[in-house]
Amino acid sequence: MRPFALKVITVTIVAATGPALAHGVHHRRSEEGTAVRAAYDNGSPMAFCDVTVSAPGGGEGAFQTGTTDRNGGFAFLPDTNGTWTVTVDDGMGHKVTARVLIEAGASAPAETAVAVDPLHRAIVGVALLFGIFGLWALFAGHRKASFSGSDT
Amino acid sequence: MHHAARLIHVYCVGAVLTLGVARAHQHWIDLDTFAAAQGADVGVRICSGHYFPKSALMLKGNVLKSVELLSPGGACATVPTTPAEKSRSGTLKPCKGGVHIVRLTLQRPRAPQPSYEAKTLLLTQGAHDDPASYKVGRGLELVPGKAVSQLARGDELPLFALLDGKRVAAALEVLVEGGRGAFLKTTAEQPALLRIGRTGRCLVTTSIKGRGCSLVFMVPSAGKETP
Repeated sequence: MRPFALKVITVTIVAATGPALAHGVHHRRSEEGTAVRAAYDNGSPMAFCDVTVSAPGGGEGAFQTGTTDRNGGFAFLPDTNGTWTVTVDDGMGHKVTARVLIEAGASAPAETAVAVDPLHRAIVGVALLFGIFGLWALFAGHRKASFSGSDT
Repeated sequence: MHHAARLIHVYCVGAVLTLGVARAHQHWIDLDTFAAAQGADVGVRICSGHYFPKSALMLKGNVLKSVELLSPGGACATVPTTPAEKSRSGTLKPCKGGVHIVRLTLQRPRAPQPSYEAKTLLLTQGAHDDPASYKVGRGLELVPGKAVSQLARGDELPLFALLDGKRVAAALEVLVEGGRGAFLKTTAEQPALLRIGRTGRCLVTTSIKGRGCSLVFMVPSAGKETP
């Protein structure tokens, strides 16, 4: 009888200690946080690109690193107010930095960042100048034509 | 009115030139020579940028999936590369006679498919330049329809775009070393016809659904780079 009782006690102790030794994990859904969506200037998403999140004031390295999802999206949970910096780098020459302002009590809307390299910005600037110049030339031409038409 | 017309003309030319410069980053493989002696070392550079053949930036290591040398007969060897100033460089050795393909695949970690595939044609001296060897048969690739080592000024080179070995329609951009760029279109039935205007390295690129590819080959000068 005594060995049987001993067995029962041993099995009970092992069964009881097993779950206690494991680490418990749990989750909860968070309604907080902010998201950034990165895209190329042609609209296609910057999918699976490296992301670095820096806290306001910088320092202490990156707050978080990771990769964008297939739609170019990335979400994080800011733990302090201020301007956060999110940099998305495709490793192939395209990089975009979004600055996200987090204020107390303000909900953080999704930000959209577009990767346009400095060369393209310069090209767009020149193109805009050409556009304005062209429109001016067109109007000037019309005015001159109408003036000369009224003279005759 | 004459003055205004001239201004409009200047505006149009400027706008066209501006559009011509606005290109996405391209990636390509450059070689020390495109007609190497069998067994000789050939320098390789993985280049990126806007101004072919000058590389403007170096790719990050985590997007570089592979650099391979495909030899006649199907043998495939990895070409190790190391970071240089504005490119990645390495050395390869074509050990067999015939057409070799140097192939670069760029794929981001976790991405289901490559984002860019580049290839360059390398012929060993004295070997037969067979256009049937230009096709890899996987991924997105551009394939010339004629022997590139036999090209001369004024020739027309058919170019096909293939996705996993099947012809697809694509818009091609052509950049010739020291020359102007050109835009061509290929369909599933008809190749694009590139008129060879000058000798030197030639870069052809295309992009389909966010997936890009490039091809580099050499149009030889008479008596030079000709196997």
